Amino acid sequence: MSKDNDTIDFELPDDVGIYEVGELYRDLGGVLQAFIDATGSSGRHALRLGAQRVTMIDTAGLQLLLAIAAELQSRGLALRLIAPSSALRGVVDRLGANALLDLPPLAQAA
Amino acid sequence: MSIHSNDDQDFLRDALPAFISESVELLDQLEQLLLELEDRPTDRELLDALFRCAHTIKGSAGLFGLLEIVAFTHHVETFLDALREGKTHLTGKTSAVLLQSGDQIRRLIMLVDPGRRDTDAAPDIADQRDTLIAALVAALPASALQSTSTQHADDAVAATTAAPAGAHRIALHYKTDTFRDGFDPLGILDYLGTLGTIESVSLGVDRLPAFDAFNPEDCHLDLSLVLRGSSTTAEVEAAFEMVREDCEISVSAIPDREAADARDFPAVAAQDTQSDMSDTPAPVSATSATTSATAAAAPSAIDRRAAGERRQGDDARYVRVRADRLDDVINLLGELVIAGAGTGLLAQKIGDSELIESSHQLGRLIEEIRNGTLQMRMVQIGETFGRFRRVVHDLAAELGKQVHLEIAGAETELDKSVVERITDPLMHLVRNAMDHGIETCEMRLAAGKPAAGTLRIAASHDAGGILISISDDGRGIDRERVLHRARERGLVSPGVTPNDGDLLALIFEPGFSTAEQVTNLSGRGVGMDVVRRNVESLRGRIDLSSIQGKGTTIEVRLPLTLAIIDGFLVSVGSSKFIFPLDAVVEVIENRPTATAVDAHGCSVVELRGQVLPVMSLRALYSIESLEPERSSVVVIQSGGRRYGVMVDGLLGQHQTVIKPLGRMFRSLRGMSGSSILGNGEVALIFDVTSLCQLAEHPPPHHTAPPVKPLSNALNLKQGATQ
Repeated sequence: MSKDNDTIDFELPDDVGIYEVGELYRDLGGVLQAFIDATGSSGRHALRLGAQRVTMIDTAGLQLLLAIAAELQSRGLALRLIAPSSALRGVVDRLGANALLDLPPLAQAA
Repeated sequence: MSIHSNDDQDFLRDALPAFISESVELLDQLEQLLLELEDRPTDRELLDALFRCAHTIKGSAGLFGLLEIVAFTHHVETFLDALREGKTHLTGKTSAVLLQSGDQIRRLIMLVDPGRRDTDAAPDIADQRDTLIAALVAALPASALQSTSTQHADDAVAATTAAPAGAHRIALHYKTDTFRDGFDPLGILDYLGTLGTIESVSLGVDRLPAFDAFNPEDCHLDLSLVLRGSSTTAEVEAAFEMVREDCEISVSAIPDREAADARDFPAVAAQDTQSDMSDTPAPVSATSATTSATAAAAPSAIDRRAAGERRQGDDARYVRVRADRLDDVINLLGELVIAGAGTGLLAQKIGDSELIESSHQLGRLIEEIRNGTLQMRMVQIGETFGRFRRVVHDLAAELGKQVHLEIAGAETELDKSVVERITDPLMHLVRNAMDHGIETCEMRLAAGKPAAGTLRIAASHDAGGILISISDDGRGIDRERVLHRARERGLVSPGVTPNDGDLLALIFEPGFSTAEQVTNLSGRGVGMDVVRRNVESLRGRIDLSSIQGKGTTIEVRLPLTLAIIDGFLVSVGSSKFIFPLDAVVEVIENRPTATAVDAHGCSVVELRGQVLPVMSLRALYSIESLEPERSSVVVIQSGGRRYGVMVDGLLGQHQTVIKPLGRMFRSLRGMSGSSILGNGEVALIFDVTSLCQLAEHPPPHHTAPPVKPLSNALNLKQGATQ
């Protein structure tokens, strides 16, 4: 497993909800493709998404992250959420998506 | 997210009145359907409609987090479902329980009405609830309890209504449109959080497509969890009421020890998303549990839109408009009609044919707008009649009488404001007929009548107005007792015996309303005098006929609308008058005037071999002007009678905006209002019914020296005749 550096491939916006997922999907599609294309040369294993700004995320937003994670996983890669905000972690906890996004439950982490 | 939840709270607060008014309407409907069901207990359509009512109330209440209402209505719904599935049958007892349950829901709704918090929220409301629930559950056969769940996979819980509280395993299989419909699974979690502790939440992503084929607005998720708490299965199931169309739900109670192991509970296996959910009857699409009162999460305008859509109901789509806004439009329309008529007159005067054509076109359009706008205010009287079903039902039980209610002409339409103001007087007449008209079974059988009395309420259009009749086949009015009472009260001088019509009319005198059990029509809250006053304030008229031993019929005649009518404009001398066009049967134009009239201005003419009584407006209202050599007769129909009115000129059809007569002229006989013509002149509008009466019973003072028409007409005040 190659060591990932501190680069953030994409910073998630404040709102990751049903209104934003359409545009985010297009943006993240590009980021994902570029990341996959570059894995050979970069040697990076995980796509890094900055998540500290996220103040609102709903299930549609979370599903988008899960879709990226699944896509990466199918290629033997991973998704890493960097500095996830409490709003994001709260939603992940409540929907029981911790294992899918590799984020331990907030209560446990605290 | 807290911002959103505040928004949701605001939205809920704003939407609550709509929920309350919608629910009250649904409860009215529920009541009507229940009463109809008594006659047709196996009518599937009725049963379906009933179920829909209860289901929609429950769904809406769930949206607002009104658990009390949801939980109680659930029992009603379960019972109705068993009824329509034929698992149980309606009896007199269960019918009464269902009616009382409707009342209970109404009370619960009133409790959440911020405007009515102070209502005498009966402290025994919980006792009533428990009694009713017990009665509903008891009426449900065990087999119905069990099979409900097998019939409705998504309704699994209904079966275990009475199941003990405990842990529940819940599996949710979301449909593709879930997000688009404004629903967020987070919402349901919040809602469930109010029912107990959520454990072992697990998100199933097996259905997520490859990223390329992924549409981020589709939902491909499954959710499973264990809910531990004191809620009954019914309450848990109620939480899903509003999301049924968006996901397949499976709820099952699990034994406590199993719940401990539930961590391993897998996400629900993907089922056929297209499986038939059509058995879920209510239009409760696309709503989110986030909008529960306790919701802290997910969002947004979509919820709002969805809630708005849901409220629009299933049968027809309505736009709720404030009545006063509509009134404003109608007032403006009145001005428009007058201005349009003025333009028309001006065009005629100028004589420019293009201008005349254009103003005709304008006139036609105004007329269409007028008809359309007035139509908006028209409601069917049946809604009001429907309320009487309950009154008759309850009162019959209370009085120990058997009464068969017949309703005819429920589809007859009239102005909403008229309907609103006539409901109470009609209710009073119905109560009177029940209370004092129709006899007890024993008395009826002794009198050789069928044991069950018949009360008939009918509405029909009649001479530009509406005729509502309330008739019973009861004992009728005892004229002797009325006369006796009238003499006691000093309403009739000793030795004087009024004719039958006048005698019956005494019932409407104020002195009679407070009579306790003396007449057959003693008062109940409001008296008959109040009834008459209410009817007359609507420009209506009330008539009573009664045959002792056979029954009583009360006829209420009302104008269709209080605003604008199609009129027929005539002239006498320089004065203009308007007849409601609906009352005009035909006109005899330009005939020699030389018909001898009596002192009251009455005469007869021959019309196709028949004798037609006619009256001269000139004589009746002492209009000062030269009588022309030739005049016309307008043939009017009123209350089954025809009579003619002699006028000088026929000026044709006229859209008439009714303006009330001022206080001075309000008691003017034969007139119902005034209207302003296009040229600014004032025309008086005839009330054809009272005009007919006036001709039959002219006032004694009418031979007073003629003055100007209006002031002279003052002599015709009703007071002057009595």
